Amino acid sequence: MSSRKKTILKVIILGDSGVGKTSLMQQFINGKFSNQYKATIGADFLPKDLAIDDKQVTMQIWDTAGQERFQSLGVAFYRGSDCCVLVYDVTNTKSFESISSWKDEFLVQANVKDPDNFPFVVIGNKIDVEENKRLISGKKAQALCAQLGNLPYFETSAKEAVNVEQAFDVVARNALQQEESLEFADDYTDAVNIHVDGDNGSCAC
Amino acid sequence: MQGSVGFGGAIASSLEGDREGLAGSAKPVDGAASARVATIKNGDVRNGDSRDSEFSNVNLGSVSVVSDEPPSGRKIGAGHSREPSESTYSFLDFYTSNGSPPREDESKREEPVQEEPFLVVSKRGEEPDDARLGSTKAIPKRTESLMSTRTSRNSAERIRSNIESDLKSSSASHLPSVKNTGQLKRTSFLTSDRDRYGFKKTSNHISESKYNAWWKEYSVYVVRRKMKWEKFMNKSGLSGHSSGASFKAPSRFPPKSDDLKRFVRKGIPAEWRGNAWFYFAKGPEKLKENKGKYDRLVEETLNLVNENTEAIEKDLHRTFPDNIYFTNKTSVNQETGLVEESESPLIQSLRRVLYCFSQHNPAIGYCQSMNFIVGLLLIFMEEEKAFWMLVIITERLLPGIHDINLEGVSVHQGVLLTCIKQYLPQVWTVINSTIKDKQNTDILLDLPPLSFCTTSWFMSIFIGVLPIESTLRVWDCLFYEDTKTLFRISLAIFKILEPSLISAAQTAKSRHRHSSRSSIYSNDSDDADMVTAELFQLIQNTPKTLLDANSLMETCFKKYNGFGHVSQDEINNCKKYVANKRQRYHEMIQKRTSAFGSDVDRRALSEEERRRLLAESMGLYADKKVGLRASNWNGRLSGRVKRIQSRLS
Repeated sequence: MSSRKKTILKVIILGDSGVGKTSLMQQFINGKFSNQYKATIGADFLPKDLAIDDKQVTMQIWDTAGQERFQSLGVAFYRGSDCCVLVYDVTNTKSFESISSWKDEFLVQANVKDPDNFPFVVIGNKIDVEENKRLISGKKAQALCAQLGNLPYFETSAKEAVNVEQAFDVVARNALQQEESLEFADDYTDAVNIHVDGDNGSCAC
Repeated sequence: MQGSVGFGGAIASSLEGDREGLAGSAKPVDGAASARVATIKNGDVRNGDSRDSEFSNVNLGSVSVVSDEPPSGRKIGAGHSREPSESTYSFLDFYTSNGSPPREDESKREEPVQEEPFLVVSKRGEEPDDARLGSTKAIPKRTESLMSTRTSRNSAERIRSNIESDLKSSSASHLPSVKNTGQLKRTSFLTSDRDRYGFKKTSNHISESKYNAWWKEYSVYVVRRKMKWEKFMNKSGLSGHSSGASFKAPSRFPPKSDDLKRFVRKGIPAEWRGNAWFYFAKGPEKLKENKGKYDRLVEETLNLVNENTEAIEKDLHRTFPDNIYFTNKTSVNQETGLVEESESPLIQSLRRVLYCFSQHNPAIGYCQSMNFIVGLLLIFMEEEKAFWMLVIITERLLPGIHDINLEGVSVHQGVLLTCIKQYLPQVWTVINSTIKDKQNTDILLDLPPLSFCTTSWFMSIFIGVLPIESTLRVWDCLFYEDTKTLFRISLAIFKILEPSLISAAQTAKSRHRHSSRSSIYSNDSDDADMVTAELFQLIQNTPKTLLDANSLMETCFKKYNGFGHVSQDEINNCKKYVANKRQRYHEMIQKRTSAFGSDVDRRALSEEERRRLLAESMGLYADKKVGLRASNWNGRLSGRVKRIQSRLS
C-alpha cells in the first residue's frame, strides 16, 4: 500500500449563500460546529487525508462563495474536480430550486468530458430545525435527485453532526471512482471514452 | 473602567461557551439554556456599565412576546411609549466636558429608558443561533418607522462613542488625569478575551499568549505614536481643543506632505481613524454635496424587500460574529421564561447602510464583502459617514470590484499577477508552475485557481485576511495614499511568503513524484494540482498570522527590496492594460458565440485571434512609459509577433 500513489480527490462544494457549505466542510474536517463562520469571499480550501477501504487518499475540499455574482469570476478551480457537492437548506425553498442550475453551471465551467456520469452528491442541510420550519420534504428532494440523474441524496445537520460523515464517505468513494476512470482515460487518450463504472446513483442514504 | 472591558469580555466568553456547548451536545436542554442566559443578564444589571446595560435594558423594557412567531419575525416598536431623544449624542461633546468620560451618567441622561425597537423572540430553551437567523428568514418583516430608526441610530452612536473612549484611553498616558485610566485600560486588554475594538483576540492562527506578548509591546508603541501625532498636529496649527486633559479627535488634518505620509504609515491613532479616513478620502466634500440624501434613503428603504435586501439579511449576522458589538444579546424574560434575543444596534446600522447603498447604486446593489467593509467603518464612524465612505470606496477606490459581474476583481487579480511577475520573479515561477496547459492559457484572461485566494484581499480590503490591527494600518495608507497601497501590501505579503512558497512547491513536487514513481498515472496536471493545494493553504493562512503591523509595514516600505516605489501611475496603466485586454477578449468570445453558436470552447481562440488580441493590447500599453512591462506578458506570443513583424518589414 505504501508504494502506491496517494490519490488526490478534488471536491467542490456549491450552493446558495447561507445554506451551510462552510459549516459542512468544517464539520467533516474538524468535527466541530460554530456559529462564528463569516460569509465566504472567493474560495476557501481545506485538505483531509482519509482511507477508503485500503486506499489512502487526500481529499481537497473547495468551499465557495454562494452569491451568484461570484460565478462570473470564471471558476478555474472547478476544472479537474472529481466530485461536486450541491448543498441546499431544507428551510429555504429558493436554495432548493437553485440546485439544478448550480449543477449546470458546474458542468459548463468545469468542462467535464462526460457530464452524464460525473459524480454529484446532493445535500439537504439544517435538518436539525423544527419540523414546521422545514419547507422541503425528503420526498420532494429525492424526486429532484432522481430527475437530475439518480444523484445520491443526503439530509444532514452540520450543526449536530448528523449524516455528515456518511455523505462525505459517498463523496469520497464516487470521487475516487471518477479519478480512476479519468486517469485511465487520460493515459489512453486515443481510446474511446472508457468508463470503468458509471453506476454512481445507487448509493442509498 | 477596567471592570467594564474585562466584563464585556466575560459576557462574550460565557455566551460563546454557552452556544458552543449546546451545539456540541446536540440536544439543548431547556432549563440549562435559560439558566445560563439568565446569569448573564443578572451580571449585566449588576455591573451597570452603560455599554452592557445598553443591551440589558432592552430586556427590561416592555416587550411583546409572541411565541408562535418564528425566531426570524422581528417585532417592531413594541411598547414604544416615549419619544426618542431629539439630541444627537456626540462623542465629541463627551470628550470636551471632562478628561475621564463619565460614560454611565452621561448616557443615562441622554436617553433615560432605552427601548429597543427590534426584538427577536425565540421559543423556550431554543438555542439562539445567529448563523441561522439570516437564512431562515427569507423575507424579513420590516415595518420600521422613522422613529424607531432614530432610536436605533442613537443607540448605535452611543455604542460607538463607548468604543471610541475605550480606544482613547488605550492610547493615553502622558496627561496626568488620563494616565491612570489609560494604563489600566491597556493592561485590562491583557486579561480580556477581546481586543480594543471588541474583536476576539485569538483565532485558529493566533494564540492568546502570542497576542498578549505582542500587545504588551504594541500598546506602548501606540501611546508613543499618539503623543507624536499630537505634537505634529500642534505644530501644524491644528491643535483642536486641548481643553481639559484630552486632545479632541481632529476633524481636519494638515495638507499632504512627506512628514504626514510617514505619520500615516506608522499608524493613525485608533480614536482618530474615523475622522482621518473620512477626511483623507474626501468624505466631507461628498457629504456636503449630498446633504440630507442619506436620511432620505433611510426613509425610502425602510420597508424595502428585494433580492438585495434578502442577501443582506443573510449576511448581517455573518459579518463580525467574533465582535462583541456585532453580536445579538440573548436573555431570559423573567415573567415568561422565554429566551429573547435583541438585535445589536450596530447590526441595525449595518442593515440601514447596506439597504441604502443598494438603493443608491442599483448597478452594484449588494455584493458580499461590502458587509465587512461597512462593518469595520461603523466601528470608527457614524452611519451616515460610513455610507458615504462606501460610496467613495466603490466608486473611486475600487471601481468594478463589487459590480454584478465582478470584472473589477478579475482585473485587479491580473494586475497583482503582473506585479508579482515583475517584482517577485521567484514567486512568479512558483505560481506559474501551477498553471496547466501553459501554451494555451493567458493568465490575464483565465485566472489561475490561486487567484481565488487573493480575491478577498481586494473585495474586503484585507478584512479577515490580516489581523485587525494590521488591516487598520493598511486602511490608513489606503485612504491617504490611494489604491497602490493594496498592491504594495499584497507584494509585501508575497515577499513574506516567498521562502515558504518556494520550499512548499519543491516538496510538494518531489513528494508527489516519489509516491507516484511506480504509478503509470503520473502527469503534469496532477503535479500542478498538488502544488496549487499547498500554495493555496499558505497564501490563505499565513496573512492571518501577521499580527505585527509594524513589521508588515516595514517589509512593504523599506528602502531596499521594499515596494514603496510601485507608483499609482504604474498601477493605473497596468489596470487599463488588463481591463482593455479582457474587454477585447470578451468581445471576441461574443462574436464567436454569435457566429458559431454557444458550443464553442470559450478558451479556444484561434492563433490568428490571439495574435490580433496581443498586438492590439500592446498598442494600448506600449505608448505609455511605465515601469511594468506588461506588454511582454506573454513572451511566447510577443516573440511570435516580433518575428511576423520582422518578416513583414
